Amino acid sequence: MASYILEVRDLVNTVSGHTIIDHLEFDIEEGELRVLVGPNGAGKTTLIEIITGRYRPTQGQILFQGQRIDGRPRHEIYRLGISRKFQVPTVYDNLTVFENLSVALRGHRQVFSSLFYRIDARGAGQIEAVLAQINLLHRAKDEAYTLSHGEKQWLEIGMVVASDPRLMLLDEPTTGMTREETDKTARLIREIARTRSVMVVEHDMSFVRQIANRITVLHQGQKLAEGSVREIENNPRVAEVYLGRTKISAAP
Amino acid sequence: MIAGLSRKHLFFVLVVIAALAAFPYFGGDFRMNQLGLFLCFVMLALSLDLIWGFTGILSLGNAVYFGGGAYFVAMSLKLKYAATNPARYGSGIPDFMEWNGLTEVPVWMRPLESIWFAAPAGVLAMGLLAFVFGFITFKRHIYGVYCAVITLAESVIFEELIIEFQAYTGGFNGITDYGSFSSNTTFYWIILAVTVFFFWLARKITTSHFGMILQSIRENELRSEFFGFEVANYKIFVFTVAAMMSAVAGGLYAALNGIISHQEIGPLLSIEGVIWVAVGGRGTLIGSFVGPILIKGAESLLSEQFAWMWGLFVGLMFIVIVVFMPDGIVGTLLRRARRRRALAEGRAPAYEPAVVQAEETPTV
Repeated sequence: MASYILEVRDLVNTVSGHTIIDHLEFDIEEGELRVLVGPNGAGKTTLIEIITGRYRPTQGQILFQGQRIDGRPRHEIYRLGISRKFQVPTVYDNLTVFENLSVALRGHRQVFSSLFYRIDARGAGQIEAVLAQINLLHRAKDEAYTLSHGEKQWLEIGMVVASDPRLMLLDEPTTGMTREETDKTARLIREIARTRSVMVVEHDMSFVRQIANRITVLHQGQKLAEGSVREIENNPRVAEVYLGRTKISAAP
Repeated sequence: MIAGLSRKHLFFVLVVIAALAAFPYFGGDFRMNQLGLFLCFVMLALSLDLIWGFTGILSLGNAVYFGGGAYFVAMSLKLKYAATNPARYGSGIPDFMEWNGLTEVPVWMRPLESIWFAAPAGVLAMGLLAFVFGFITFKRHIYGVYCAVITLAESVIFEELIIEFQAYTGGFNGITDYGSFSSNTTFYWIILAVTVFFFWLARKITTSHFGMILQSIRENELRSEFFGFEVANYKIFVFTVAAMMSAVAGGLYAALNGIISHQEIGPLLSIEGVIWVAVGGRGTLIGSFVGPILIKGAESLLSEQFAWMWGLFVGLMFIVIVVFMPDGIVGTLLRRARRRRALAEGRAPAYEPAVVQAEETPTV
């Protein structure tokens, strides 16, 4: 049996009477690159918010490497090894690109250790490696608010990489990107996923096809289908929830 | 380089310090006393810049800690003064106590008779108060406008307490006539030295890795939480340090001014402090020198010239600066310098991107 890095057990989340997540069962294997798709309101972002501790589940459990994490504080969940990117790119606008990455860099999370910490050559080297990976070496000294939307997406992905998690949750990493930028991002994510587990939430099916081995389709807070790209694309129920189209590849 | 300043900037800072240190020789006693008081306001502004400019906590109650430190020192000096000048106050206790029917200094107030106890006790008490207040507020994730309202309420409560318990605080009239260190050049230098030390300390804090984390909290605290920072701890720490800085400033202020009242602990001074920092430039530290010295200086000079109109001029100055320089004076200059440098190095885009204001609340 494969070992799971993340297990979602009978998860329910209701917000003022509306069920957002409805008895969801869901696993990610160690080292896997999983893509989560589904129409708006399927509960994809909510799932990330619950895993990372922003919301508490109404019912059910979340296990990370076999350990329960539901209801624990956000900073503890990060320290166990989960790091996430927001749906809307969220970077520190008035800090430089380099500074953004150095805040995210793994280590020195405590008040007193950070007071006396200076970025050493090793840390700077790690940041530069990430900068090269996300194509922002030339923007290192610029404040993040001067970046384009796509560059901000990359910066936040880079920050998540620098924070060095075991499981990375990327919420819509290619939104607002050109075709070329999207292709670059796909290559980047495949590269990242070689050394860690990644879950990507995405709408863009051509992007999904580029990166995915295994896709999970969420619909109304439940798992509608799970399988390879081919299986999902040929699944009639999936096609149905995507507005009656015959193939989900036609979905936006 | 010292406190992360470049050679050029360090030279500039040293020139300013030398000019301030030499001021008693050409400024005269009156202006020296004024400048000493302004330097106390500079320290208050520095502490506000740490919590607001760098961490994004808008506190409308920072005067509580300034006033608290001031009351500890004023009370101590007053007790001493009354005891050693019994001819003036027959019973050897402060006048306001006598007027309110006390016949002797309450036992719990006796330790304050020694300034060497009272001054540090005031600073520690204010640190403890800030710690408790910060713990309650920040651990409960109260931020933005709600935090501003709570700190404002804190300030109002303490002002009311000071007015209410007049037998022990001097009430509405405050504490007066306790002797002071005005026209004392040595004391002026002590104030200057403490100001320089606080500037150095604030530079140390804000240029450290810790300081960058503070700024990340200002920019988006939710983002920082998901990167594993226990944001509340950072806020509590910086809030407590800032409160102790304010308390020291208040103590020096009381000793120099020779009179202290509920206004020094209430919302008025708290809000004035916020204005100084806004005018000088948030998150710059240098702005905390420019803001209070410019505004209090202008207030003083204008009020000497114009009987009642001066308030209008000062108000107009606020509006002009806030409208045309939303980053404050120093903030705007620094932003322009950064842009020039970026252009020179060929990094900046051809257009000027919209200025991004630090969010008070997380956006996502």
